[in-house]
Amino acid sequence: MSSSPARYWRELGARYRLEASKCTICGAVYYPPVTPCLGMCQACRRKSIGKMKTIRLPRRGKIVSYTIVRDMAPPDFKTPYAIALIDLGEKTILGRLTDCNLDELHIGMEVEAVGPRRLGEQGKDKSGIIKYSMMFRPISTEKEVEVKLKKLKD
Amino acid sequence: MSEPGVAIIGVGMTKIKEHWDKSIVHLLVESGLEAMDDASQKEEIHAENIDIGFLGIAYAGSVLNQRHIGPMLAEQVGLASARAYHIPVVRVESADASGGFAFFQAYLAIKSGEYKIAVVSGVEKLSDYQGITYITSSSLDREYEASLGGTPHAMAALITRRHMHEFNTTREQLALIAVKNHENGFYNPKAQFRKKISIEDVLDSEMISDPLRTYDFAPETSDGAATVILADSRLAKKYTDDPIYVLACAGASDSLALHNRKNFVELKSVVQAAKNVYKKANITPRKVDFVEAHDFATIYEILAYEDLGFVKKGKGGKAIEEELTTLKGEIPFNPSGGLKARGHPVGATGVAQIVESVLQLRGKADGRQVKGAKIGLTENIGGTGATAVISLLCNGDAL
Ligand SMILES: [Zn+2]
Repeated sequence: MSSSPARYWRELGARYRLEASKCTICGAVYYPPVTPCLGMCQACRRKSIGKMKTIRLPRRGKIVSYTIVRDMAPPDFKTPYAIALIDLGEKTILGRLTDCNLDELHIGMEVEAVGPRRLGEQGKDKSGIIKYSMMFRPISTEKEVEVKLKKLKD
Repeated sequence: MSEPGVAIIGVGMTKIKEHWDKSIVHLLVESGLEAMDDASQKEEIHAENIDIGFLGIAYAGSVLNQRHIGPMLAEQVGLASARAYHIPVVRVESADASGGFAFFQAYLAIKSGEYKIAVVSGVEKLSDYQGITYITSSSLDREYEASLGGTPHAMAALITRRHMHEFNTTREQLALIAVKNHENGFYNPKAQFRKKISIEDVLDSEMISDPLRTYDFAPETSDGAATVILADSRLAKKYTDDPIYVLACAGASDSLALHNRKNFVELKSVVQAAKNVYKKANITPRKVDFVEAHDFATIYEILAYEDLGFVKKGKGGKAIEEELTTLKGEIPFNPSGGLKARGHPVGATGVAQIVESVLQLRGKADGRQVKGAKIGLTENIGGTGATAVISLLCNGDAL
């Protein structure tokens, strides 16, 4: 099944730049962003029309939960891969993890956005749109680097 | 308690399995005829006695590339003919909760007084499609979950890991859910899997989405149909001496995407719908004798213990460990075998839960009978809990 390029194109801000909407009345943050002119805050509703500001989410966050998909992935997805709920401070989003050792993932792990990286091609013959998305990779803390170096030395 | 306005007078269900030789209509007709026979204990019920139909289907449109399945069914069973007044058949889609929502609509149709007898069916035929995950992932947010590789299995795994982290729920406790439901399913002649399993079987099964394994999930491919006939209570006794009453039925919603919720270890849609049915029926969870819950993944049954109010948040793992929910426990969960062992023909599941509850409340559930059951609860959720629909049923002894 193929979607039109337009469906993909209108999501680029959220996918490539982590754009979100912030309600200037109550401060709630929405990802993906709401439509700029007509979008509403789910709490403030009608009052918030025209008062939603497009922001960019922080690029660093912490893993809230994660899973490594090893089987039953949709076609076009090469297993294993990892996805995680990532707390970016203002908002928790679902992100694809990359450049990581799957065995080292843990709740609380610090990650940062990289990309946009290639997610895959649409369609069985891969003739469709090539999809990209921001992904997340672990930030090695000083302590973790130390442990790794020690392992290498041993 | 006064007599509730809506009663169930007949139920029917196909065996759940991979029905290679049967089409979707074939399955519907089979369950429908069984329900009609079941509703004809005192006086034969005919197509022209039925005023409206509801059909719960989630994925058939994509699997078969066929929409407009309402009239397709109506025609085959003679509801679309002049003799049966060309009655309307409304198709309902709410992902995994399609069957439960179709039942909800039928309940409202009778409750409103507009109709006297309604038929509700649920059906799915997943074996007609290969690589079903792409389609079942449409129960999630396509753009911000499924497109990143989120699957129903992966999302359940995210909830599981969080529950394990916050409440020390163990891998073994999760496995016990599957073991219990296979134990119950062994006694259900219509279950897809009639095989008892051990904790080791679960823990040694293939990893699907870390930390959940094959045996943590309902089967990937289930075909089947279930049908229930509802009637105005004042009319029910004309057809049966043993009507089962709908005490209350309520649905609720939550954000489609998991990441838009305040916490990831509670299904607010279930909490809300449960609150509504308990209030409408004026009972507490203590009054409930058994539950047919939506155990698409083992974690969802643990969440159900908590979100339906049987144990405190975080104590779900302990509840299964202490055998609170086994067939002989304080509050048996999934006597039918649940989605895990009965199978999960998506659109049929919510109706199949009602069918099982009716058999339990009539005392006709054989080897899996919950002794002295008077009130039963069904919990049917869609996706990761973006929708939930809950029904409370009772027999005459509860009134
Ligand atoms: Zn607001």
